Amino acid sequence: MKSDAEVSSMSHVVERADSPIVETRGLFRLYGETQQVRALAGVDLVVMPGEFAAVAGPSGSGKTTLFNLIGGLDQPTSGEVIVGGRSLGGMKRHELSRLRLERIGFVFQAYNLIPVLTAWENVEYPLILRKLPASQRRQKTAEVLTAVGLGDMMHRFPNQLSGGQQQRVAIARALVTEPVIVLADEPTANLDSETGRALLDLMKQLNLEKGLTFLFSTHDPMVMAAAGRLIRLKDGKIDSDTAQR
Amino acid sequence: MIWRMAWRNLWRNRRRTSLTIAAVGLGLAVLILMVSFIEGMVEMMVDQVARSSFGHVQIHHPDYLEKKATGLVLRDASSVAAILEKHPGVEAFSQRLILSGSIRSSTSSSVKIVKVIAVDPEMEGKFSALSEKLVEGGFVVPPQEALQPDAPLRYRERKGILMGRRLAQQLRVEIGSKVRVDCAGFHGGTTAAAFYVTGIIDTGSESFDSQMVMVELQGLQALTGAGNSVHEIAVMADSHKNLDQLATEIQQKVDALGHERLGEVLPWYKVAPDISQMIDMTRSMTSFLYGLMMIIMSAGILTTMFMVVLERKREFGVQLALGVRSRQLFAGLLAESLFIALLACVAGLVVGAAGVAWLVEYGIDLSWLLGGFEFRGLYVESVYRGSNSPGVFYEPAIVVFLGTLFFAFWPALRVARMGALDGLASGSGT
Repeated sequence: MKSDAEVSSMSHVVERADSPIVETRGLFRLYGETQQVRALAGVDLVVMPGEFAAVAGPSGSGKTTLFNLIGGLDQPTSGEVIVGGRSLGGMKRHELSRLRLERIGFVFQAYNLIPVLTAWENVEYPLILRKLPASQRRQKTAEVLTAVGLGDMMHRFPNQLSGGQQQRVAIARALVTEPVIVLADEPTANLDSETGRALLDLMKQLNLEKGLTFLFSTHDPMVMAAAGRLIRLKDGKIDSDTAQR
Repeated sequence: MIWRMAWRNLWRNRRRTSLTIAAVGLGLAVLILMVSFIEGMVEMMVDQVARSSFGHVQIHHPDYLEKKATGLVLRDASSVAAILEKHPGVEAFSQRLILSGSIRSSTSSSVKIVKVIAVDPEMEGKFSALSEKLVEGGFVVPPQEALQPDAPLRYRERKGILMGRRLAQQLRVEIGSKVRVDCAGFHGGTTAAAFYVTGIIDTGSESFDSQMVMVELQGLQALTGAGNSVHEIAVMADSHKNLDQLATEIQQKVDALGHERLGEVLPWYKVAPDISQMIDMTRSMTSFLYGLMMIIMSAGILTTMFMVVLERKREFGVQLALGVRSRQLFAGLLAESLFIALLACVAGLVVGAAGVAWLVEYGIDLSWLLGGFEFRGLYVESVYRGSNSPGVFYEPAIVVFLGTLFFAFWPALRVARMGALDGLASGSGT
């Protein structure tokens, strides 16, 4: 069993530009008592640092399942997930928690902010979990909140923010730990097109300026068009994987 | 952050949290009142035991309690009295000569069997509650005519007797009436003497009021040839705690007088184990109440905390996905129940303290239901007052506080075992 320190030290393994951030090999995920429901049926995927990749496909194509497996929230029936050069297969529950806290940023469709915390506290929360000193926490939190354009709303509670603003807070929360990849599950699905476009621009900007790797699922054509790479899933398999301009 | 989140989470559903705190707090207040009531009853019984006839500690001839024979007396009572006068922790003591006898009056044909207790009125009056029950006359005092210096000798030699109102009614006597008492002497035969009623008491205890008379000690000692012997020395301590130790200390000093086991010193609960058992039984009701409170409380806390878990399942899933450890979620939920427990304890203690203050001041008069409570000649008051000893407050508070945490353990454990996907897949949440 790996200690927390060993898991934490993984961050030094991965940052080479020629090494994949995420790699899946022969990924299967079957559901049901007789395992007849095939959510994923052999997915091989490599995500390189700095990519801005969209996973598209109809409902039931396996997008969320793929994200859950990459994020260590679920275990594959067979196959392997490698994040930052390390296979998730042998990891204990607390090691996966640590990996998510330090290496992966999550953005959910429904924002999923903690309602009793202000925007500032929501963003600061992962840093508290990482036991960063208060001065560093303040600096990083202010930085990311300003980067997502919420510098003047940081002390509002989620219910005092619009959907777009809440999603910006969620992105700030995902970014604040400086993850190797941000997994965004249909981040614009709950937003109107204008707000969705603004959010997409923000993500793109962070990708270009900070070199952050984004992998997001969508079935919004506008989002697909903005992606540098479009991976289409169909019936649990990769149907197409194309680079875009 | 755990504490801040727990506090804010607590007030997300103000009505439910307030109701839970109110319910647990009210339960604690009721528990405090009931424990106070029971403890007050026990304290009153112990006090009554001490102040009626038992005292806290008793000294007898080693065989007296078993055989109750007239001749089994403490022969060197004055030496024992000298020990008691100097012993720390002894507040008062009373020497008693106790004889079986009969009593009759010229106004009634009936003869009543009574217990004749001879006491030093001054010593007995220091701790006996009987003097407070006087309804006529004085407490073991001589007749008025005996106190007149110029009265003829036959008047000055008259002796007073105290009896219960019921016995006085049965004998058809009143203050000043003459009665004849026959009792066993110490040198064979019986001793008969005339007494004049100088005091009538009404304790509320039927047996006490109809079967007991009290006379002056020296007079009866002289009449019966008992010398300065007594059957019993009852000792009132300055506290009803550590009586075993007090009895042992006095025993050592009595043994050191040099006589061969002159007397046996026992705390009251060894003299009357049946009374002690009854008091223990009364006290054990407290444990039953604690158990009952636990059952009531478990329903409230479990319902509240499981509702919290169900409502926030998705939120817990999100936190797990962000990298929050299971044990941190567990701690968060326990922190919420800790706040509930603290607030409920404060509320319960405030309300309970107010109730106890009332119970101590006014008590509950159950005379309409029970009348005076009598047990083995022991008369217990019918007005029940609470106890305000610290244990009445902190013991129930600790039980409720720990109980609240205990019952939150299960829901918290369920959250700790939850997977991130279980939560994220649930429809509830933000």
